[in-house]
Amino acid sequence: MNTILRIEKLKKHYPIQKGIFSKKSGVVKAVDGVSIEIQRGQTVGLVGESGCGKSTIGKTLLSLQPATAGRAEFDGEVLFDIEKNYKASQQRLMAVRKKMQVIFQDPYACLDPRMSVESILTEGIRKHFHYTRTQRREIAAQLLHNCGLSEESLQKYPHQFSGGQRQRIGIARALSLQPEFIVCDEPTAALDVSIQSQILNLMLELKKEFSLSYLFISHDLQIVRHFCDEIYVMYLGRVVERAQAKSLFTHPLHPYTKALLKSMPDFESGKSKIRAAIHGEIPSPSSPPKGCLFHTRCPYIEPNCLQTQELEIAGEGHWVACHKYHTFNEVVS
Amino acid sequence: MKNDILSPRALAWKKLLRNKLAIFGGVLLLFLVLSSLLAPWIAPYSVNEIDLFNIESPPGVDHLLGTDDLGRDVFSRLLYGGRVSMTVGLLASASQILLGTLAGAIAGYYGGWTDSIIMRLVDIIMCFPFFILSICVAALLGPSMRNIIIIIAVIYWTNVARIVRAEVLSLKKREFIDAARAFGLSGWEIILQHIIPNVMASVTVYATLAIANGILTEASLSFLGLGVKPDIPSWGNMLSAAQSMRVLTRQWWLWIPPGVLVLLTVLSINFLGDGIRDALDPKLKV
Repeated sequence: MNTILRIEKLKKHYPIQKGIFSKKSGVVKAVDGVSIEIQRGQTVGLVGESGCGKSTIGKTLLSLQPATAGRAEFDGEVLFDIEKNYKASQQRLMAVRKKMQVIFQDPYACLDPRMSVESILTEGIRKHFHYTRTQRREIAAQLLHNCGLSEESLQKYPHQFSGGQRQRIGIARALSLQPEFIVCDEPTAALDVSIQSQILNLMLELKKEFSLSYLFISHDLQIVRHFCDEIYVMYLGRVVERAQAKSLFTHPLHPYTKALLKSMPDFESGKSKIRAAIHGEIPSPSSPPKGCLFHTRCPYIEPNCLQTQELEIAGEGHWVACHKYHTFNEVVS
Repeated sequence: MKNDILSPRALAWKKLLRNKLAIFGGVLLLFLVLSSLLAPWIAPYSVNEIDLFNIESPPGVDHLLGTDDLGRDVFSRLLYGGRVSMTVGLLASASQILLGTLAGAIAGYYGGWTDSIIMRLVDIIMCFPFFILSICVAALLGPSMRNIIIIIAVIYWTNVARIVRAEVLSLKKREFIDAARAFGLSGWEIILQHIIPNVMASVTVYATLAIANGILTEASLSFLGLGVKPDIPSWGNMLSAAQSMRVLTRQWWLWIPPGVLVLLTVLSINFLGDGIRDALDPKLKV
C-alpha cells in the first residue's frame, strides 16, 4: 500500500444565498470533480491562479469543511464518501488528524497572538497524548530545534518573531503530532524571496528526516518546479493537466499551462522576453463557461471546445484535459 | 530584537503605567474603594445612629458633613453608601460580562441557527425600555440590592454579546483557529482556549465602563425608590433626598456630596478604562 492519499471526484460547491429567507440563488463550484493521488514520500504540487479552488481542496481534506461530493481515502482510512453517505466518525477522524497536519500561508494569522510559543507547540500534544508538563516542554524544545529556532523562544510570544520565524513555528506545530502527511497551503506566499528558500529547504530536510509526504498548494511555478515530484494544474475548480514536474515544464500540453509557463519570469536565460500574459479575466466560478473551462481565454479555440473534455492520458504519467493538445506541437513551435 | 521577553499582558501593564490619566483614575478609585471598605474604622458614627439634638444640622465640628432629616451623620452614611454602589457596579458588570461573552462567543463561533436564536433574543431584550422593566421587577420582587444586580445583568449582557460576536466573526476566519481544528479541538475547547482570550481585551474595556454604568443605574433606581431599601445607605438613596425642593435649595450637604462621589467614581473608572483600552491595543506603541 503505497498510496497515502487518494481523492476521487471531489466537489465542493458553495450556495449563494440572497435575501432574508436565504433563498438559494446559485452555486459557486469552487472544486468540481478533482481526483488526486499521492504516493508515500512524494511531494505533489497543486498550482493555479488564486480562486481556482486549490486551498479549498486542502480544507476539505482536513475535514475543516464538508465536501459536496466525492470520496477521499487517507492511509487506508476512508475520510468521506459522499455517494455512499459515509463520513469518518469523530474518533476515527482524531486518529487521522494525528497523521495529517497543515502549514498555513499567513504567518501572522496562523499563530494565536495570546499564546506563548510553548503552548502553541504543545496544544496538539495535550489533546492527543498524555505527557507530563516537562515531557511536553522537552518535545516542544526539540521541535523548535528541528525547525532552526532556539529553545529560548518557548517563552516568547508570536509578535516577537519575524515572518520567517513565525512560519518556522507554524511548521514546528504541524510536526508536533509526528504526522505522515502535511497539507502546505501556500507556505511561502507571504514571505520574502530570501526567506522563501530557507523555509523550502527546511521543509525538504524535514521531509527526509521524518519521511513526510506533502500536498504543496501554490501559485508560484518557480517554487513548485524545484520542490514537487508531480504537479496538478488547476483552473476554475478542475484539474487541466497532471504530470511529473520535469515533463510538465519541458512539454506542457494544455494551453493554460503553456500560458502560465510563459508568464513566468525567466531568470535563467537572462533575456527579458515579452511576457505572453493570458488575455481576459478568469471567469466567475458561479457561472463557468460551458465545455472546456478555458475556452474563453484560449488562443487555439475551435468549435468542439464547447464540449467538456475529461483528463486523458497523453504520455507516460502525463494527463491533460484538452481536445487538441496533440496538434499543438506544430502550432507552437 | 532585544532581550525583552514580554508577554502581551506585561506589555499592557507597562503601557498602562505610563498613562498619567489612567494612573490618576486608578489612584482615585483605589482611595474611594478603600474608604468605603474601611468605613467601620473611619466613620465617626454608625449607619443608623440618630442624633436627635442635631437634626438637619449643617456641616460642622460634630458632624463633618452635617446630618439628615433623622439626624443621621451624612459623612458616615456616605462611606457606607459607597459599599452598596460599588458592589452593585462590580457584580452587575461581572455577571453581564460572563453572560454576554459566552453568548456572543457561542453565537459568533457556531453561526447558523444558534447565532440567529441568540441574536434575536438580544434584539428583543434591547427593545425593552429599561426603566419600565426594572420598575416591574422591583414591584414584583421588592427593591433590594440583589434584584438591582439581576436587572442590570439581564438587560445589559446584550451589549457585551454584540461586541463579542462581532469580534468572534473576524477571529474565527484566522488561520490559528483552523490549526486548532486540524488538531481536533472541539468547538468548546476552541472557544475557551482561543476565542475568549482574544476577545478579553475589548471585553475588559467594556467591563470598566459597565461598572460605571452599574453605579449610575443603582443611583437612578434608588433615586426613584426602586433600589435598595431606604434604611441601607447608598449614594443613590441619599441623592433621592434632593427630590424635595427644600432640601435642594437649603440643605446642599444632603445631596451634593453623594452626587460628587458618584461623579468621581464614574470618572475615575472611565479614565482607567480608557487607559486599559489604549494599553491593550497592540497598534499603539509604548
